[in-house]
Amino acid sequence: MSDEASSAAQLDVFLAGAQARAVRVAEIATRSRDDALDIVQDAMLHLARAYGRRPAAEWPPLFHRIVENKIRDFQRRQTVRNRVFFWRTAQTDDLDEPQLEDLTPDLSVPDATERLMQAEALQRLERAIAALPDRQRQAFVLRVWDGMSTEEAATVMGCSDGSVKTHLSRALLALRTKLGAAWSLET
Amino acid sequence: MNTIDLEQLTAADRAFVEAARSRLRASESLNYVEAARLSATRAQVRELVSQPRRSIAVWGWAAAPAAVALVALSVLRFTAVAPTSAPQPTADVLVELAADVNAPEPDALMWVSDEAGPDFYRDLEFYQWLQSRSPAEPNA
Repeated sequence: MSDEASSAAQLDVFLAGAQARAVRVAEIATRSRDDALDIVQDAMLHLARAYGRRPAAEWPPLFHRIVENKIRDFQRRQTVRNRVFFWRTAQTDDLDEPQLEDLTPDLSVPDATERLMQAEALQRLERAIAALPDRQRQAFVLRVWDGMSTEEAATVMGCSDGSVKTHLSRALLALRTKLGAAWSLET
Repeated sequence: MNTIDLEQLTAADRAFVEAARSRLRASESLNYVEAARLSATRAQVRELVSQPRRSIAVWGWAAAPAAVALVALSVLRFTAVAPTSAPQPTADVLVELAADVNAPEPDALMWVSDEAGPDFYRDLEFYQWLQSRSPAEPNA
């Protein structure tokens, strides 16, 4: 197998593993599933064009960074659009509307009440994450959700380790204050 | 500033982080349409990365020096020529040329003031003569 074919296969495996989480991260930040998919698709192509031939170990932080940059671009465009077309109604909040898959019964959870409570707890968490400032949201996503080390998160965010710790600390404080102490005990 | 690491969290914070992580990770799913959409993008990515880079590079290595040489040859054709010093005309020649230029045209339109012309003095003399003849001030 040639070098190109080998790295193409490796990149495909990496993206297949990272795509679902990237979509959820973008969805929470943009509050729109379709926009999140667009962002992830753009990020995949960007990664392939600019860094496809880099070593595979460099892809995860690069991909995260590209996704975050695209989320920020999207949010800036939205801000400008909302200012220009201020008379239009607010963007449809996809996260607040029940999706078809949300209504599909999950057979792994037997109790409907429990399932509802879990969905509600997740929604509250998503809203709280979306309300965080960008850097705090990034630190929380990278450290808590992705499980990156402080150094890896600092590379992705382009800041020092200390800044990552500070942002994460503030994010956790804000989330716990907003969600309440009992949130982690809910179902 | 309260800088923390996950290992340094309190029990309550750790419980919060674990609960958030497990719920967020459990929510990572794509439906059939979304998976197909991203799969198509990944196919595009595979195609992009598997394209051999050398085919473009060889073309570039051949074309770039040729383009540079072409531009260099085009520029070198226009070599700079040292300016030769022309002889300066003498003062007489300059005066002669200036005289020709400053000479009035015979049929050129010229402005002539009528305030101090012959008519003005003639009228003035007539007025003085008329005044001397008149018994009183004419405008009295």
